[in-house]
Amino acid sequence: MRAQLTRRTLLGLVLGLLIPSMAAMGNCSSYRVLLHQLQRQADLMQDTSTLLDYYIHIQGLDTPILRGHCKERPGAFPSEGTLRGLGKRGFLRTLSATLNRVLHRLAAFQRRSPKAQYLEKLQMARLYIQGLRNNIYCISQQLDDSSEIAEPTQLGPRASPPSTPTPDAFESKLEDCRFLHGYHRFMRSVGRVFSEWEESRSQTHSPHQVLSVGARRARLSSGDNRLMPRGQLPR
Amino acid sequence: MDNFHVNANYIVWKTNHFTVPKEQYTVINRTASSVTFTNIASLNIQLTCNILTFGQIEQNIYGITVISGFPPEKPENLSCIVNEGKKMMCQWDPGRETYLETNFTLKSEWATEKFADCKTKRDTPTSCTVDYSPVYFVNIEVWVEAENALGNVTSDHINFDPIDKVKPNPPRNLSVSNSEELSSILKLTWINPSIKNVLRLKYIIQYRTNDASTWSQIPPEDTASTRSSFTVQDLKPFTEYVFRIRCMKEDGKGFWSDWSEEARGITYEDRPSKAPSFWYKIDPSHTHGYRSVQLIWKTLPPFEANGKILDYEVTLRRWKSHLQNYTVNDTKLTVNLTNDRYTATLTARNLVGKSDASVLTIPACDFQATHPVTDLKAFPKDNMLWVEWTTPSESVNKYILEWCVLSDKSPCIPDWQQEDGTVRHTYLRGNLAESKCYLITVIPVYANGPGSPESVKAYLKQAPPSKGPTVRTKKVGKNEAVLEWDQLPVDVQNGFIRNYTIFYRTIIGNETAVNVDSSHTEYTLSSLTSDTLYMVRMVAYTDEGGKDGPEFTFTTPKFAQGEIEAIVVPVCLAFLLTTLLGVLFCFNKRDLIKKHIWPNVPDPSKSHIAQWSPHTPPRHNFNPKDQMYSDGNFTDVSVVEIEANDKKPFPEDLKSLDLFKKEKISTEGHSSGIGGSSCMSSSRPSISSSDETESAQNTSSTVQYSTVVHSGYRHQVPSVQVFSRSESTQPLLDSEERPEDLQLVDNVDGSDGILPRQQYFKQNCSQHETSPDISHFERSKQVSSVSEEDFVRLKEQQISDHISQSCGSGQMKMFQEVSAADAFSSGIEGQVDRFETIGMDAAVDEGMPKSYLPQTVRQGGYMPQ
Repeated sequence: MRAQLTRRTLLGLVLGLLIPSMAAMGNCSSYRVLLHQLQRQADLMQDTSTLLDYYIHIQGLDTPILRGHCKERPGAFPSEGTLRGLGKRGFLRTLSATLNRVLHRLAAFQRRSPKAQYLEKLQMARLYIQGLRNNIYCISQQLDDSSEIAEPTQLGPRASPPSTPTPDAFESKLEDCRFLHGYHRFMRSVGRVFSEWEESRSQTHSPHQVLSVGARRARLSSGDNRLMPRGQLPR
Repeated sequence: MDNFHVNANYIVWKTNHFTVPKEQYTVINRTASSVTFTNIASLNIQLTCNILTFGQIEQNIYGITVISGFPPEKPENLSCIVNEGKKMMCQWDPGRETYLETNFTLKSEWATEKFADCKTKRDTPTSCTVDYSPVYFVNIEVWVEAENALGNVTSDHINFDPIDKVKPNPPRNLSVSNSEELSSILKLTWINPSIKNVLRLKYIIQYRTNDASTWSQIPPEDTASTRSSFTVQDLKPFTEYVFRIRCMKEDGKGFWSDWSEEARGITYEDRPSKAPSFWYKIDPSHTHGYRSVQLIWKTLPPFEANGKILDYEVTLRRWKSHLQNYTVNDTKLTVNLTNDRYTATLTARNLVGKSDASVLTIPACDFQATHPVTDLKAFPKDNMLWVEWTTPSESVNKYILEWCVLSDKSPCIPDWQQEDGTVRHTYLRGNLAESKCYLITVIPVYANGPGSPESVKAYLKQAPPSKGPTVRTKKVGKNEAVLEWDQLPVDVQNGFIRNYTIFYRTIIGNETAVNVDSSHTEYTLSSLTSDTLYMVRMVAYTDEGGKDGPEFTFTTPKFAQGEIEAIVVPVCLAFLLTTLLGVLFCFNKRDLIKKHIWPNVPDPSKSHIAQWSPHTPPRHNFNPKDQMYSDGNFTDVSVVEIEANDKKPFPEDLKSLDLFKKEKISTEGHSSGIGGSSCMSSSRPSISSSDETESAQNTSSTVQYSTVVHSGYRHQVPSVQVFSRSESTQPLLDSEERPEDLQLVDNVDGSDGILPRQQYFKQNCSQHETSPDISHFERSKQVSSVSEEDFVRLKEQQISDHISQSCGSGQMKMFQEVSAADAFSSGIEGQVDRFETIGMDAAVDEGMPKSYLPQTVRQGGYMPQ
């Protein structure tokens, strides 16, 4: 009986600490919605028409031979197998770091691209990547303390291969093409991983539910009437 | 303030130059005062601080402008929309008017990012469009901050995924295609908006026939998922349809897109779904043994033709004989048939097939139609002309409705339509016009031929008549008038004439209205005033109003028919009766009357003087009418006119007169005539002569009895000597012997030569009515000697003669005597009048002699005067 009381007190203490942090993040959706959004974002970003196809077109690489050379350089992005092997937190960390690296690379593209229309596409891609990172932040907040993921920018450079810009412009274009190809492939893998998450969510309780149940238990035990985190409000 | 020797009590506050009441002041200390405003009516006032220097002179110290308003209210109903391909726009309700410059700022952020503020523009303070592209699948938090000089306020925050606020672009390139296999389907294809790559869509598809105005909708559940084509079923064959489509996010979050552009398509043909309406007409002028029959049919409406009708196939079969086939492109076929019964069939053919056959029985010539429909009615409803009837007891195959416009100007050209045998009411499917009278005939068609037709008249919409009826009088009486009018022609009726109203009035009277049933064509107005002008007009009314005709006037007579006769005839009868009675009375009492009026006068011819008279002038018998005079009934009077011309010899008869004069002179000297006038002694038979001496002698020698008239024309003294002489044996009246008369004659004779001609009138004292010949004779004499002007003067003289004659005592005496008799007073007047008329008549009698011999009174013709 005493042990039970101690556990409830600790859980209430954890929630008490957790709620203010959730309130601080403000705009995050529920875990379910976030997971859906992440999957949809990954689907959008794997679409080569958003970046790669247009890049190949404007760079004059739209030939079968050149397309054949525009393949992802192995090791540039984590493979799907690697991603599957990671835990949720690890996966989110890796994803966040990779996207941070992509952001930097796209920023370099923007600086070099002469085409205004492609600049717009690059801008949109960067916005979507930032949005994805926002959702990663949110879902990681709901998974656990986000301290591990709070430094995504540190993960990116570590995961990315050494960027050695070649002096040859053509080679540089091909390298960028290969990078974009790898990016789209990477996002396709990410989407698959998230879809697995969604499948597993339907079979087991989501972290939301765990937290909600825990919160209800805490309120029942302590009589605390404080609001639930916004992301967990029932819809 | 010390300089002015004042303190805070001397401070005066003013707003817009009006002093603020001191109750609002608060003295803070010796040099400070405050003022409090609990309610400021004006939004912008000038507040000034003034002091009363030396307690009297107001001096302005300081002033400020006070601007008042409200702090912003919390913006409500914040909502955002993301039009596909555009940036997000949010709008809100700003709340009440602040009267101050208020800034609205739209703020938005992610959990990890904060976007730039969106400042509203001055012309759109309640909406703002962010300057970044929306990022789908990332929740964003949006709110509005309102701020002015009095404060700021923030709206509620809304948190949403922009994908749930999307309004997609409409699907484009919508196209329609049909299927030859199925005439009831059309396939729609379209290109989805590019947002389809981001989200799933659902659709609404609407369609309508080309001529319809309302849209039908495909059930939403059939189009609840993303697609780019759809097949619409259950459409009519060979019918053009119009389609449109719109889309939105599949889960219903967000906004419907606008409608796509409309697309049209026609379903494929199908065989005609119905047999054409089929009827016939028989030409009444048929040759012996044959008749001309015109088979007519209606084109199928598109929804029954199900395609383009290529031709019609007609078959004719006489009873148990061979079949005759006709292929016709028109909608009629004229054939010569025998008088036998025929069966005709008709089919319509299109690209796909033939319709069912319409079968029609053309009966034999001797067929007698029976069994008409009953209770046939026609009435307008919903701008259509409906016909309903009660079916006959026999089984009816179909009904034929014929109708035509009734007109006096054009013949009835019937249109027709066919109805199924089960129909009891229908409307006429033709181009019907308003205000036209339609004659509608319903013919039931039985298996063995048509039944008896029944007809009814109807209007699609009535109107007041175009013209009013023209009313006229048929008979006008003293107190009544019979009005009649013609029925209005059907072309101007414009509806069923329900009744007439007759308006009639006198010139000064009020108008009276009488309603008359429409079946009448005449009406009797009674209680009219006699001898009065009446104005009458007539109005014919339909259900929609009336129209008046021209105004007609008539005058009632003063007397009723026969009224005059009823008065005049009895009066005339009474007069005639009275006259007759008077005549009878006079006849019976003639002796008494004669004795009373005409006293018995002895016959002068039997007097001694008559015997003394040497001879009777031959002239005495010149008038054949003298023979008519019975003795004693008439007075024979004479007027002698003698031309006073010395140069002319006297005629023979005057010679005798001369002899008489000489004899007279020799015996009596100056002597007056013997005997007096018939009624007045002063009026004497006279003889005038221009030669005063001779004339006197002549007169005395020839005239036995006469009246002497010695009054002159216009108070002139007669210039002739007048003698009169009577053959009467009666003693002469004393007046005739008076010497002054002779004296006068002598004086007058002295003026002979001045007047070339003298006229003398014998004073007619007899009743001239009874002696017309004498009057006539006198008239002839007058007119022959004088002009018409003279005749007038003569008339005046005649009157003056009466007056002048009355001057003499003898004359006066006799006049008085005559005046005593009523008959004479009128007789004198009548004499004067008679001169006027007779004188004119005598004007043609110029052949009469201008002078006459003195006349002797016929024997027995003397009428006592």
